[in-house]
Amino acid sequence: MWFDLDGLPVCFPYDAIYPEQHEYMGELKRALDARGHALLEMPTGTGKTAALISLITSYALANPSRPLRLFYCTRTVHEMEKTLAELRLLFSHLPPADACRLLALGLSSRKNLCVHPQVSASGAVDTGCRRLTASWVCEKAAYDRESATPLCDYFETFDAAARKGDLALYIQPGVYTLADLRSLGRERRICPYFLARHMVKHANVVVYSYQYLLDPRVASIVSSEMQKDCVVVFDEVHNIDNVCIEALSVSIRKQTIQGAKGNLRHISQQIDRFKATDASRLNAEYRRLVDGLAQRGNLPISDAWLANLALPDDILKEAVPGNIRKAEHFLTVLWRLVRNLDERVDTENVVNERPVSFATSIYSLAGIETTTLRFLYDRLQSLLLTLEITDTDEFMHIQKICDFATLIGTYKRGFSIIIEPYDDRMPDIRDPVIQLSCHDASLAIQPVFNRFQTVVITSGTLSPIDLYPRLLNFNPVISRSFTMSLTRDCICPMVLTRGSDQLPVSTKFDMRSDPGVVRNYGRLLLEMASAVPDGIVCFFVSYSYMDGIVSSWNDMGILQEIMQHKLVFIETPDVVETTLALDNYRKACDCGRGAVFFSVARGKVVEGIDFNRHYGRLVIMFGVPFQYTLSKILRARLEYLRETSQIQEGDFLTFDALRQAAQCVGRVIRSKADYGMMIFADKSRHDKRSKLPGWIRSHLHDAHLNLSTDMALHTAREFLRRMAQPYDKAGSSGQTEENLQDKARDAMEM
Amino acid sequence: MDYRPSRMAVVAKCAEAFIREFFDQNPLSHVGLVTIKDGISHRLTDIGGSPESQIKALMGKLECSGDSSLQNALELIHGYLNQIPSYGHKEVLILYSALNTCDPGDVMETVEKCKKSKIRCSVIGLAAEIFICKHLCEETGGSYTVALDESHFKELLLEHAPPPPAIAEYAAANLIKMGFPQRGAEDLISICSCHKKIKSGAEGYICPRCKVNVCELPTECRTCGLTLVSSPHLARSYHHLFPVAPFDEVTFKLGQKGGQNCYGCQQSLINSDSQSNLHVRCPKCNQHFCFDCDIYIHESLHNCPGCESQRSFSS
Repeated sequence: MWFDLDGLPVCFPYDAIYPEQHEYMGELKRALDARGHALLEMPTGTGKTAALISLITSYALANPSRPLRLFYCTRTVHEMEKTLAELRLLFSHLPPADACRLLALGLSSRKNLCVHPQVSASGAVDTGCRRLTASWVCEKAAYDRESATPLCDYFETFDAAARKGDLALYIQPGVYTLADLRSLGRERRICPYFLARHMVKHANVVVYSYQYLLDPRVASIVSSEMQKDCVVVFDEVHNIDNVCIEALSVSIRKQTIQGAKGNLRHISQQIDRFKATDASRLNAEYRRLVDGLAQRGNLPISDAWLANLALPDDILKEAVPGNIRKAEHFLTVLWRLVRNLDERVDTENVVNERPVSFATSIYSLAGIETTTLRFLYDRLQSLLLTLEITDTDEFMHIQKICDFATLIGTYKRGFSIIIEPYDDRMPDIRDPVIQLSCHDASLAIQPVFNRFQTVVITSGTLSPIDLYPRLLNFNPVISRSFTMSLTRDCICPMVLTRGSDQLPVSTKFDMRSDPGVVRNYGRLLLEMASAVPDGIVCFFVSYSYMDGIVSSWNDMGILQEIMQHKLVFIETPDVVETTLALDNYRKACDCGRGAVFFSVARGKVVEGIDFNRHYGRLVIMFGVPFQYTLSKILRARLEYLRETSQIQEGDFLTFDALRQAAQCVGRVIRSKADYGMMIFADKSRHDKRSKLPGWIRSHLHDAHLNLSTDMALHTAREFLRRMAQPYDKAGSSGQTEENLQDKARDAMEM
Repeated sequence: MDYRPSRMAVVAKCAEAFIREFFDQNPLSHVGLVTIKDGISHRLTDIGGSPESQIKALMGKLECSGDSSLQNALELIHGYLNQIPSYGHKEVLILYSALNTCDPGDVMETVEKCKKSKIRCSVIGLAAEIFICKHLCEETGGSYTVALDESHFKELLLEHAPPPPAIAEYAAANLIKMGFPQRGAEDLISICSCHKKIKSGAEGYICPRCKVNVCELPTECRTCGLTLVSSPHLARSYHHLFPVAPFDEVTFKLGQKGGQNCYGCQQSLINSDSQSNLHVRCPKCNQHFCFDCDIYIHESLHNCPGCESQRSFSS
């Protein structure tokens, strides 16, 4: 349907629109008008994606001066496919004249896109691909036809077309999912990965993982192709600050150092071999380095050498320091660095240092200057290319060390280096580690904000919404939280503070091991298991707590009683085991046996796995999922936040815990037709109500704030009965085209 | 507990009412009872036509314990209903109090089997929506409801008493033998075959084939096994299976010829105040009716006079 939004004709691919989608579009339009960033929270299942893409597309069509350039960043490949399906639906509703000009495609790694029969079947696709497509391999094959160097036919077609400049012939405008790209590649015998990467320049909409933008190491391949007027959308990024921090954090263990030493030996052999056979290549590299890093832009695309988004511009223009230009000199510098780190890691006590002092100590002990440190990562990449090394996985260790050095050399603030001889939780096992941890999430994302006119950050859980701008250090023109309009009260959050014996329950450290609390939690789950059909999901604060409480339940006989009602499945740190448990859990829910899934609030399950419909009628959150507060890294980060952003420790911890809790309970509702209950079982929960996302808060009645087990049970029974009644699925919450027109007319008359 | 005095008592009371109502609405249908408990299912009564004997058997066996197994129950029912000839409707109504099912095998296969044998399964839950029940009902074309409280439960249960409209593919034509017994004469004293008591002929009916006395209709003759019904029963059963299609609302265009009067009662359809000349039309025979006749036809008569008279013309 088409409707008018403040003078903008908007094409929406469905017959009805929810009021919150309409509002969402309104806010988004204002952000686009103001050419600023936006921070929008809207619960899942309300058609966020559809609202986003239809507004941005319509906006671009209505303003020919600002053509459609949208970069849509998702979290998983699955979400990517869903977004592309949504785009396809939208394009089919656009006027044909507009739709036939637009190109939208998904971009993913070689692993997901490769169609080469042997390479795609092998485990290491990246390495296999580089072995067949690296520029020197192609050159060698062209130079020496008799030697029958294996090449990738798909890449050769791409290369030939790219040289002629007629790649556009291969790909018609339209929407291409990853599967479409693969089948196109097979049909036309062209490499989908390189084609997609090349077409990013010309595509109107690109959907990919947000790692491509945030992580400077995961080939920032699109950075040079993106213009200022692009719209960048980050979807489902409630933990964007953690992603940013992880992108710039490095930890070096003993194994890393051992591996790096092995790498260095390998490299020096290679250098010797090259010196004997092909010295000109090394000399060419030397000359190039004299000219500076910025001159490398004319390297072939297949070698994945592009500018580093996170590095300040001035570094790119500077010439590489003299002492590492020659390959042998560079190698000795690396040896000194690795030996120095090896000595540092063998410490008996915990060390916490700032990058500046760490760099100074490297200078005094190993004689490497800070400026030199800064170039190590790029210098290593250049050397690996020169030495024609395709197996990048093997050289991971030395790359990690160079990465570490570059970060130390580049950033003076926002980092700390923590050397720990052993993990706090397991003091008996010696496991020394040097951790370079980033505390400032804004460092990784700042270039994105500066570079693009409009960055939209959106997710189901962004509360409290005022904290994100401070964490990421940006200034959104629009920041708003939307609630869900529902035809019925289909979510039922409850706060349980007391057990059936009226004693408070909590996972606070002093009460955690109290047998009364453990028993009360057990009774709660047992009662709920007898009253709730199909699936129940339980979240615990940590693996160790889960192990403890489950074994106590076993001793008390509670677990056996639960097993009479439902089967019990447990998440473990092992991915394969957990996947199996999840499969069986789903099966048990399907066939009516009923099941309980025990999971961890910061585990794998919480990110990306849905417990919608009968797979999750109830989620119980045992305790508040605070981070492990004794961790040195968290302490350092909290301190940094307090000093620079004036965020109190308690505030941040609460925010982080509730964000995680909201994420956990949000797993059960994925659409409006669904229903589910959420129980927060902790006595200290009710004073933190205001920090929960609006869509949960608006359903949290005052009467449900301070319940005991029996009251919760009663509420649950009543809720389930009510939800089982038939209801009007079409729902009056959607508005059709006529409604909107009527509304607009009313507004005009007023 | 949620139902007082107990779920069992409430279910028993409502089930009794349902059985009576069911036979009242479907005099030709038969009912058998199956209980689900302790992980197995047990046949309480054979499929039969007498409400009293069914209720008696049910009241004697009011117990519940252990797990419930939906699969076992469906397998058992499937075994019984499969022998029913093709002209009969096969329906299962499950009153389900448990929130899970403990099955020996894959319940999905059993659901498929029921679907294939065209057994329509409906479930009334007592506590909450269970996915497998919903799946079963959706697959087999039944309805799934969950009761809020006792009165709602009764209401939902009684909704199942009128049969669903016949679906063409189910209703294969077939001839069955039926007896239409007459009320006995005043002076005839005989022993009724159902209660073994001496009764005067006026209290019972005489089977036309073996001349034995039965107390109530509809039933099966104890002696010769003939189905005994009365003609009103037959008519009542019939209309449920082939309901009169709802009439369309129409308004007159001015100057239109013919059809000025209601086809049923011959009253003029044009009111003196020209505002409300709204009336209805049968979609099949295109005859016009007033609202009073519309209600009468659908709720009491169950035949459309227009369609019926057309049929007699053509035959």
